[in-house]
Amino acid sequence: MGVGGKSRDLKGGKKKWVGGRRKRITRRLFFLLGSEGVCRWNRVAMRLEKCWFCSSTIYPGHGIQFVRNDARIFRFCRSKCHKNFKMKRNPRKVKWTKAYRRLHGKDMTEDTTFEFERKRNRPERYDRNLAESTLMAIKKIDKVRTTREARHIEKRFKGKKAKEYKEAKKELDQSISLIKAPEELLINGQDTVPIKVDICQPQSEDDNRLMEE
Amino acid sequence: MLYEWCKSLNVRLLSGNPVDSTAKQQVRSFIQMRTVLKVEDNSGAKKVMCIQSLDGKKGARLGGLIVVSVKEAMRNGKAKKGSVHNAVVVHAAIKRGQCDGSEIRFDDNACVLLDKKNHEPIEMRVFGLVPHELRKRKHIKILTLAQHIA
Repeated sequence: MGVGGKSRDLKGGKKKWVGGRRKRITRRLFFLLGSEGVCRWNRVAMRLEKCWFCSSTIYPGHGIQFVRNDARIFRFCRSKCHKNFKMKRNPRKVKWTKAYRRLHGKDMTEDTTFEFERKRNRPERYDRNLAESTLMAIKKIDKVRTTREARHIEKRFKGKKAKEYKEAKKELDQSISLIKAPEELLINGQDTVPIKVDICQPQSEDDNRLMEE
Repeated sequence: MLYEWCKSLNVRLLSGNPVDSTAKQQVRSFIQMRTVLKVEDNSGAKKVMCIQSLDGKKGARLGGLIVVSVKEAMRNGKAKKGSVHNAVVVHAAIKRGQCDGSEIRFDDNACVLLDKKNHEPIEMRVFGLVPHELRKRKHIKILTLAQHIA
């Protein structure tokens, strides 16, 4: 982006803007773009913010900002989040937000890969080598993060299977009398435990067969 | 016929869905004649009323110029009660699109009083947060005076 030709028109040494509509527009352009040809107000905030409600990334041109009376800025990624805010919902209690998932141990919270994604207020001086190595590192770090997250989820699911098995076993122990009368068990003179296992396995197979049919 | 009309009206009233809480909220309008605004500078004025918008037919939005009449003022301030000033809107409850396509909205309507001749602020302090949209309207002075820039 740049300003074509002279935008300043001086007549007889007078330092005053002259001209019609076209010159007014060029004058305005000159003001907006500045002498460096860089858009002045775009330079102000081109950063990826986080949504106040769901903590997702807000890319430039998306969402809405709300400035409260005490000058606190709330940024929202989409109208869904904005509406939820207006309804005074607590993001910690809404299940689809990042806050809820973190609070309830659904997502990985502590990891060294998160430290790269931090708000930095000091502008970095451009260095070609650094930029190149950063771009390379982004891919690598992303890969590490995704694998770690997958591992976290796997770990989280692991406990559940054992828990389900335990619960099923307990139920069988307690309510075996519904299937077989307790007297019958006593007559057989066998210990209760092996019988339970015997009953359990064919039954489950039968169930599976029924389900398949 | 009147009976039928009444009946239909009644039915419509009864069958209407319960109003959603978000739909209940007031629709914010432009800053127009008789809008009362707060003043975010140390000119002494506390409340002003917009008596004309210098921006367009509909009214002013964020960053727009208006003419205001001072309704409430401190005794020792520069702006006296009843005086007329130009002003720039620094907070607006109506949402406004930013240059990148996102939107910005404030809680209240507020302005900063300006000198009529050169459109510079009449006092040397601006409180609170102002949007960087003011840069578009050449209010650089306000931006430099402001405590925070959104």
